[in-house]
Amino acid sequence: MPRSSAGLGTGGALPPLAPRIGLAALAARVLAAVMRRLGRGGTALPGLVAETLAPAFVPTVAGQLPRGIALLTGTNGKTTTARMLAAILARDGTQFVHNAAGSNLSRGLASALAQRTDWRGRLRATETSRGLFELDEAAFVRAAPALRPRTATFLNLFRDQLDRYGEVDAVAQRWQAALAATPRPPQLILNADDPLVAGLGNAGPSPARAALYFGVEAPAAERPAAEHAADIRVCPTCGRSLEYRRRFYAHLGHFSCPDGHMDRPSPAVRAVTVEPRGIDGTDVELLCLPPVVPGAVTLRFFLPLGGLYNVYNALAAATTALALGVAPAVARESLAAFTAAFGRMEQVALDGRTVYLALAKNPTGLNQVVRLLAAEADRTGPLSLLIALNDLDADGRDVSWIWDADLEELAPPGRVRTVVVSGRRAADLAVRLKYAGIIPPAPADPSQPTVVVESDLGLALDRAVQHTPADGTLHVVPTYTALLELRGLLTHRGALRPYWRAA
Amino acid sequence: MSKLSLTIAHLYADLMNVYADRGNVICLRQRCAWRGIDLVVQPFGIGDDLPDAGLDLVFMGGGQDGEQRLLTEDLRARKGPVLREAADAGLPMLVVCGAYQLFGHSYRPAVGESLPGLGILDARTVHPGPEVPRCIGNVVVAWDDSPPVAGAPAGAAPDSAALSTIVGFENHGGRTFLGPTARPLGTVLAGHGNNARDGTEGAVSNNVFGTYLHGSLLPKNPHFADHLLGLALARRYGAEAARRALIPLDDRAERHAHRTVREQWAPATRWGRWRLRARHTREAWTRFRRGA
Repeated sequence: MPRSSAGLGTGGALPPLAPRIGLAALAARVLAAVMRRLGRGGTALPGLVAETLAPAFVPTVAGQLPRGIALLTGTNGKTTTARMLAAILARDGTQFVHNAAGSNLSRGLASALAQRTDWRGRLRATETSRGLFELDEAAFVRAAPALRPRTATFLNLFRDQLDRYGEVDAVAQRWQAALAATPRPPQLILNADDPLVAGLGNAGPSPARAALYFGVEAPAAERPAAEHAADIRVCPTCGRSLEYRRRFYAHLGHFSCPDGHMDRPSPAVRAVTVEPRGIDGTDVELLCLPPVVPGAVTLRFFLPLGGLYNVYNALAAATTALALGVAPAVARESLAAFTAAFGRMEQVALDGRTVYLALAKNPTGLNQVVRLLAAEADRTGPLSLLIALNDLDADGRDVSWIWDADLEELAPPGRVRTVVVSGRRAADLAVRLKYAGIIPPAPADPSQPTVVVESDLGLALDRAVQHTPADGTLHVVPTYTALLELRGLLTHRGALRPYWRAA
Repeated sequence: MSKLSLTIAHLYADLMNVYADRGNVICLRQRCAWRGIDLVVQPFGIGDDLPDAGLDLVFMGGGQDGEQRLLTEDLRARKGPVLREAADAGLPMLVVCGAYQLFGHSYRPAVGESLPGLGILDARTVHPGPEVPRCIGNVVVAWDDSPPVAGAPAGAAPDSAALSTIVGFENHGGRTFLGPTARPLGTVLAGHGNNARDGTEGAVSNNVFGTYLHGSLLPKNPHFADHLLGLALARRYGAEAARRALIPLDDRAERHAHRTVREQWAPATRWGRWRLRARHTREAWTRFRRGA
């Protein structure tokens, strides 16, 4: 097992002194400590300082990890999946470093690594043997070749912030190029149901090391009609539209090219049973097959997170863990005891109400949340909602995407009791809800939901809580920066611990 | 009076919807439904022939480059002749972004040969190359609400008095330049518009409207949506019936969304302009910190 990367040029137990790396780590750690003292959860700035002082900081330090690096990327579900994998590794007793605070750019990795690097630039390897890093779609392309990951997990690829990432086909091509440029090809762990992701396995740099796939095969998970945000997918070889034997959501499903150029690969880990239990979670049964386990193993558990998209996240985490050699039972126990990541179906208490925070940052993500909320309304009665739409850089400045999501699913009577619309683009969102049929087109009549449009998030939260029954549940659906703002507000009101102090 | 009914042709609905342009169709459908008008949405994909008669409106949105290439030939050979004839006959059409480019004479992409367009709009689009930044951002346009063309009712948009601007979001690499027979949809107050140079946005020829604006465009511009519906109703039922059918709606939510965009990106006051500058500075700092 190689113990250090070629970049350090040593075969010995300890890398040579690297004062510049050590200095950068020291500076980053001091800055992080000062920021924590000031009560600011800076997750990116210390890393930025470290990378500025020593541009090779991340590959140099990460190259010292004795058991290598597991990378994880995709459009939706990165943070949740990384946390699931972290929970599994923790239960397994593995020491690992993880960019847990959600900064999924290279500087987030630098911040996490700096905490474990001493003044000589050496990683405290006794405390850390593995790296578990989530990277966003673009950061993966830049960072992967230098990091030389042992495994690379790809969750999915959806349309997201076209003004930042570009079109999905271009992202898939850049992933392919980044993998080809990685000197020691990683073990690929791919979503079999996403044609763009599964395609990475065909043209892989090392056919000798076949990719591992995960996918859904449960009958209950199927959706009768394709929803709208489904990008039409064409076969990269012949350009004809892919056919779907089954379709789950967006372009995820059992696809094949009508001319036989590509077909959904056979997954090593499959969800054979998916029984939704509303927002509380899902009963799942995972069938694990060789080569991830010696013989067939079935894992049956209650995943305490609702939504089919979280089943995919659990599949990705379980497959990666098994590929890293974790025992199946450990994966099952960890997933069954999982708690939600920051703002991803996270549950907090405020003024006697239960508040669910469900981040939605692109049409596919919003569709998943909407579908879950619609099912929840049918189970428990009309919902109290707070939806917040911001248009800052981190959200994407173009708010058109709300018209790509099927908000119409919340329109049937009895699904929404009250809705508070907020954020910098609250007015746009109100128009969307009106045309979706959730907000009545004419002045309200008593049978229609109550609607409040309040662009200030603090006031909106007050109104939303007022409109929620005293022991009821408030569902909050924010975009990314609105989620950060809401977290601040909730922390201030004592509803939450700051996320950089949470586990 | 029997129920009024309109038919809209939605061209390549699956392929050309990269920026949520289906919001325009949702908007037209609802604004008709609230007035008791039937709006039939007919999708036309690759291989489908357009009928010579029976259409009241045509809509086509923008797409990714690859998808655009897939349909260019179908659009030109199969649908082109019918569309050109219908455009000359005054059929109202709304074409957004990629579709706007294809309705011009030609489109020269960043790399490769120039693609011929339909030539319905007197416009040519040139992509200045992959290294030149795209035109991305919020747009406010002063709508050149010039006298309605022949056949349209004088009061096609009865509730439009208060709004004289069109707002939306642009994201395009190509730069479009208008020829002598096309007039711009309006004058840019904020954003880039056709080519970031001559201050024009969009193109109008007969009742064909081309524009770069997403947003989605029509929901935030109810006066423009009603203008299109007015043109379509007048062609089918006559000016008087169109005027009666276009009952004014409660557009407070739409107007609020419109004004929010206009006041934020084309502020009329000094305070507003100062806030806009502050926002740009703040966002530049955030971008730097996040390394985006």
